Amino acid sequence: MNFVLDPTQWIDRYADYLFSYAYLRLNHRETAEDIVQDTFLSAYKARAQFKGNSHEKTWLTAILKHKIADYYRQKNDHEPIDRYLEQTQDSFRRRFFDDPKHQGRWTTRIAPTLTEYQVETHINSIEFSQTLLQCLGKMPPKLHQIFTAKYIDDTDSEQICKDFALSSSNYWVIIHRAKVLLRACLAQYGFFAP
Amino acid sequence: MKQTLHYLFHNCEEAGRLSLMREARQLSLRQQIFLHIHLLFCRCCRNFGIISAAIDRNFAHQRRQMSEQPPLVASEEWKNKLRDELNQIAE
Ligand SMILES: [Zn+2]
Repeated sequence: MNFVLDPTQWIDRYADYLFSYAYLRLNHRETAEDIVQDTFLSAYKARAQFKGNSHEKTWLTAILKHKIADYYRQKNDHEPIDRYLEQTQDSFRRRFFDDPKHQGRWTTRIAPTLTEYQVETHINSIEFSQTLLQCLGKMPPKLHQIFTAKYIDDTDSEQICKDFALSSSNYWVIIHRAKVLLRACLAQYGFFAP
Repeated sequence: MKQTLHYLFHNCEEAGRLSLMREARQLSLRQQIFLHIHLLFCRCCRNFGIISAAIDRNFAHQRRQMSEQPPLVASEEWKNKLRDELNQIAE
């Protein structure tokens, strides 16, 4: 296989896809637009280095992923994720795991409920997909960047811990908190709610 | 003994976290036993596990579709600006 580049078609073919990907990872329109723009321009300048052993779309996506990783590396230098977790631990617990009668158990009024038929009817419906993305957008940034590395980018946990300088235990704290928040948000929109 | 029981049943946060780690096969034997017993007695955590798995499946579905059917559309204005810029450096 020998793939070629066709920069005149890049915007028509890949702008929506790369923008979607960047937006879901960054949760900010202007930042996503800037980073995708930067991706196209640096890809164009580096076109001589394209070896042709992958599709141009794969190549462009790889460049974008690098840029997003760089963006987060710089950002987290200023506000470490570990500190965020410490600062927010109590309020998270008080909200979700502080039943007055049974401390440490799910707070009754916010606990996950479910009836049997709910899962299969929702799972791949457009409404559910859209609501899930909407709830993803409401996630605190420190959780969002890790959660989307796993669920949008499909990076494995070891690599994420390396990229974000996280301990394995903090990684799971983050994924868990993010899931708890997502679940609560879905319930507010009527999914898996009584 | 009383402390152990309290830890077992009054720890939905830990149970939820372990149920996510279980999917990645990262539990020690002790953690597996804790989770197993907690889930037997805690419907909320069972529900959380089921909903969590549903969320995972939907994200996997969306990832498969993203390349062919991007969920978002970039603004035409921005795309035009990009076309201009690419044309400019191509000249
Ligand atoms: Zn529980």
